[in-house]
Amino acid sequence: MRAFLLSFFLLVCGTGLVFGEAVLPQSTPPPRPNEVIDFLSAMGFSPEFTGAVAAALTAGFNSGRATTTVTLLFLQDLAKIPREQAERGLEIIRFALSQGFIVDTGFAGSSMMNEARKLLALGRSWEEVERVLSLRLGFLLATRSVLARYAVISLSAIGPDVPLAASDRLVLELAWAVGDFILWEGGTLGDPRFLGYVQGRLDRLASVGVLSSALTGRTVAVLTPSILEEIVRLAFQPERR
Amino acid sequence: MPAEELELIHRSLNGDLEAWGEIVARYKQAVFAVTLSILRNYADAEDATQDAFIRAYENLRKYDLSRKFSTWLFTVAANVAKNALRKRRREREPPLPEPEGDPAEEVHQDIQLSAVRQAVAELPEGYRAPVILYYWHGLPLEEIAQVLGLPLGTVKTRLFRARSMIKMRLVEQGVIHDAVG
Amino acid sequence: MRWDELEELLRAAVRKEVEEGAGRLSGLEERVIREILRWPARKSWWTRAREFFAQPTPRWALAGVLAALLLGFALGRLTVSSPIPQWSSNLFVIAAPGARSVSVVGDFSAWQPIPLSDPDKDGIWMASIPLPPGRYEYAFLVDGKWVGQDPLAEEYLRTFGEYVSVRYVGGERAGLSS
Repeated sequence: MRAFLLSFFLLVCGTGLVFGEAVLPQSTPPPRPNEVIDFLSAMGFSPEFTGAVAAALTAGFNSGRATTTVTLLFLQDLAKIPREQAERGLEIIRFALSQGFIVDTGFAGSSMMNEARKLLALGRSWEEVERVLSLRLGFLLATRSVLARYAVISLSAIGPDVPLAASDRLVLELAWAVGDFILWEGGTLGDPRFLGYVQGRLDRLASVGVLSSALTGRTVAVLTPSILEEIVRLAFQPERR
Repeated sequence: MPAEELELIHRSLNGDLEAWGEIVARYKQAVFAVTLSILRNYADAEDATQDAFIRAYENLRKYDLSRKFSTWLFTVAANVAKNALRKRRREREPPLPEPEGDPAEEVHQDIQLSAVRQAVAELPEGYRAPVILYYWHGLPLEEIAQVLGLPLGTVKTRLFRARSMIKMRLVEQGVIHDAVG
Repeated sequence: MRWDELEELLRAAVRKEVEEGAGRLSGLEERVIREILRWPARKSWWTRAREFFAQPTPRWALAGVLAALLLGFALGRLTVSSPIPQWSSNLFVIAAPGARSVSVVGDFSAWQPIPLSDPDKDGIWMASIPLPPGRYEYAFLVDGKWVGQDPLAEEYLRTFGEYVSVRYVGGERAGLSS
């Protein structure tokens, strides 16, 4: 009887799946937030985890820290890997959102979800993707801490639903530039190119309007090689004695 | 397990509510810490603590005497708190807890301690519980994993991430200045 | 501050947090015992659930079928094409004589392939993609093979040893725009 019921359930699911696919137009507007949450809910995570991620994502969609389109694509990537691994990947995103970081800039560059999709397009394994996301999270946390310490940005409330400020994008782009230099450009601490690389990136982003010119100007003026090194050390060794 | 505790459990199993009251007295603060770590609100944690002891009593026959009693009890408490959290999430979102106490007195208290408390309060859901079980209860990581129903790796990651975040919050606020060296 | 000092502070902070609320636990023993005595025969959720589902209700069966259909429908909507934000057009061009298929992947498509075309069969494949101002990483896929160095890119980045091209859109040094 149980086997029959299960088969019937799967048959009905399959029917729904076929129709769901068939009615989908190939060029659609961005998915609605509830579609993303529905997809998340069908991924088989525990109700607690699903609820926590759904709350963070919904707040992120509302505040502009995540977009429904890239998030759905990211979730679809996660749906293809073992659940425990997917949960770890998604937990990094939830944690980042809970700390008020932008995790997805839509189709416009630096972000955790976009990075994950890039690495997958490059054929990298999920273990590598997870490792990189973890490092990116470290860079985000460290960048914000150091910028706040040097009073480049001020911090009051943090969270996924706090309205976005220009400094949020600055933190993201600076963290990304530092991360790119260390992770992908083979840069090391004490590398004479480091400061120029980061300043150049920020200036260029300001020139195309991604970053606020005034804030970028202030930041570029404050940055020194030792501040950048402090970010890297903090990102890699938060428990340093 | 201490013989005295074993006896209290045996008596409770035989319906001796006075013995169960003794168990409640011994563990109420520890169970409260578990529920508080998940619910982040004193009033809800108090209700969940009471409920946890009732649930534990009802299910006492399922307790395997070869296991550590506190771990089993904390697991029951964590489950009760998680259910309460789910229910609460359906109804309302709780405000982040503000540390209680007289603000004037706070000024004279250790600023570092207040900053750490605030940073702990700001930890995202799911991160406070491992921190409290580790720092308050002093539980080993394996037991924390058991109580919270999480894989050991997840507990390690969450503790590591929580500590990183707390340290970075302290750097942001200028409470500590030697993030680098 | 050394890390072990922070550990000690953490311990103290957590202790204080719990202790401040612990005053509420006074008399908890009595309250627990009173509650247990009040409902001596409370049924577990499992018992209640079994009793509930033991009563045959056709409406529940119908609801189950509908829920399964909806779940399947949701899963069916996995393939969501990426809408490209409407902005200035940017030309992506690559010479790939003899290639059977060429596409471009990048931030602007969340790394989903966007096909390039070669209508006059001269081996020059291109696509015009409208993009808002920003910094975009991208690469071409020529017959599935990663080609990360676009001569028209402003800079290159190496990721796990593979190149990706970088183009800034907008501003004075923007890449090819049409």
